[in-house]
Amino acid sequence: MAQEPNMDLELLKQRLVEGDAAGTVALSQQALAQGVAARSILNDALIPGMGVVGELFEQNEYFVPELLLSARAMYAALDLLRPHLAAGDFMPAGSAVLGTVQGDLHDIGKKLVVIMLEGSGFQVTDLGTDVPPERFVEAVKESGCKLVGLSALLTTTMPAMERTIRAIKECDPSVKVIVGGAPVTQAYADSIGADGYGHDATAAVSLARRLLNVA
Amino acid sequence: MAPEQMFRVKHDPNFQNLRRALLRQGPPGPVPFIELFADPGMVQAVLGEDVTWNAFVRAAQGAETAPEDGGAVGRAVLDLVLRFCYEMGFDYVYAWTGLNFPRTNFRVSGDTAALGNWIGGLRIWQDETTGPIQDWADFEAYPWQRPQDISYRAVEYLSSVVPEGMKVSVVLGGIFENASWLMGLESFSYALADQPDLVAAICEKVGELTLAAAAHVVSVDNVGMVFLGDDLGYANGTLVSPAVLRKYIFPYHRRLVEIAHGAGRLALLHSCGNLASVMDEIIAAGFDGKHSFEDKIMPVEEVYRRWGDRIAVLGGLDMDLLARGSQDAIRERTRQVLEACGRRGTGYCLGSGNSAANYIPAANYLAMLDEGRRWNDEHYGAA
Repeated sequence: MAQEPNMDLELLKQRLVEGDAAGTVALSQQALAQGVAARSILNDALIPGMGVVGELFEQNEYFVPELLLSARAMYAALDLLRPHLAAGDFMPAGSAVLGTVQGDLHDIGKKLVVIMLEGSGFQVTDLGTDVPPERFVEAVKESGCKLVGLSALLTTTMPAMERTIRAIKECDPSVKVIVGGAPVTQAYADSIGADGYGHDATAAVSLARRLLNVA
Repeated sequence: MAPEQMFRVKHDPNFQNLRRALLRQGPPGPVPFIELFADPGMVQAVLGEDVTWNAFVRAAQGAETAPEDGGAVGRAVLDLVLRFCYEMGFDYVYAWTGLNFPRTNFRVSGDTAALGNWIGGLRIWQDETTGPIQDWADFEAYPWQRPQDISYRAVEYLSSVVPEGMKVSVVLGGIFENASWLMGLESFSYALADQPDLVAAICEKVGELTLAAAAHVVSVDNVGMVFLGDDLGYANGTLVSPAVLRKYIFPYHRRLVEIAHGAGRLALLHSCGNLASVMDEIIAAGFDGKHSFEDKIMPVEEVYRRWGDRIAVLGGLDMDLLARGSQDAIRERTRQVLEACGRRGTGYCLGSGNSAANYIPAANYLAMLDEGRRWNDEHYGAA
């Protein structure tokens, strides 16, 4: 890692954990000015910082606002780093397609999973809400990704998960499909042939890493 | 038509028994039934009458559904709600005030529920991203209702026609719910850090209007309780931190309870999500009962075991089971819950984990209530 000894990436990470977008960007700028490689800022501060945020969220010490504020700081820093990241600097931990299933317009739960996956180095295609099975299939074909995440808020929209899983598996049985949402349980996930169930955004990331064998 | 003539089944409403159970008093008695409200789709399916969403909302809010007929259509809708509550075996009829916080940040999709609810088979969803108030200019321009303009026509009408033994439960929208909906939950989240004064002002405006409505309704004859619906949580915890709730929301909850109790009325809280971390504060606010429990989060028996000696525990028949389970499974689970929470004969009321929602097949909902009546009959000789 091309990290300058006088640059405190721990402090940058801390600013991100605090949700301080201005501080995160300022310290990222300072790090770049001091010659710290953009990939080092990303891999040694931003991604680990979001890991801490995920742990705090899982432990109920962080809540939706804190997670969103840290994500805002992360995206602001990424905007700054992007022009400095050379091809090959950033090797995604994996790629994933996420969406809320057909008939369901609930967005924020899925959005938190997108944030945490991106924050842990995944490249994510967010299809939004009310996504029909065929759109998931198209996205899998287009991206070649091996992981799909499905979200649903209601008992009555959950059945769309089963239809979507069936369509994806028919297209490519090797694609892993994970599910989550307010009414979804492990038992329901098992009953519809999902490869995993995440009870929150942090659990979804752990699950994704395990299913894709990402260290 | 006189109210008693409109009912197809005989029921002896007994609000005093409900009050006894909510106050966790003895002697042990039958377990009352409780819901925050029923969707018009459920009312329609159970009664076999047409109840359109628009007519329902306008009547519930005390608006003239058809000014030229002097509110007759509105009263007809309210009569159906009363019939539903009476015939289902409730000791109260639910009613809304005209207090509302208009916004257009809704999204629409096809409804996947079992029973029709909204016009055109659509479902309306709250937009979580944004809302009508994003800054101080929006706040100033927002068409806040004046307390004196809030309609109480629905409450007053139902109060005037409830049969002997029955009272009115006034449903009030929540402080957190309305404040976060006015901004959108995402914007609200950012504003907690970026514009805390604006968040405080919105919560204050929503809170004071809600308290004004509460202060009015508790003075209406036959209003027995206020039922605040304020969803604070999701499956794993509160949406915002307990510190934020303490600062912006709970002070209004406490004052609402004081208003209700000061007038000799009961105060109940409906709030979805895992609220274990703030249950002590909900109890300390003085609410007589807490409603909305789901098996995935914490089975109602566990809630009753942990907090049932300090606050009445309400409902808790899992919504997923009610929506997708067989009637046999619903009956079995109803009996299981009653054995755990109803044996003491006080401090528990039977009902769904959320509301009589339109995504519950009517027959499943009726199975839960029927099993409750049978259990009551077996244990207390009264249905």
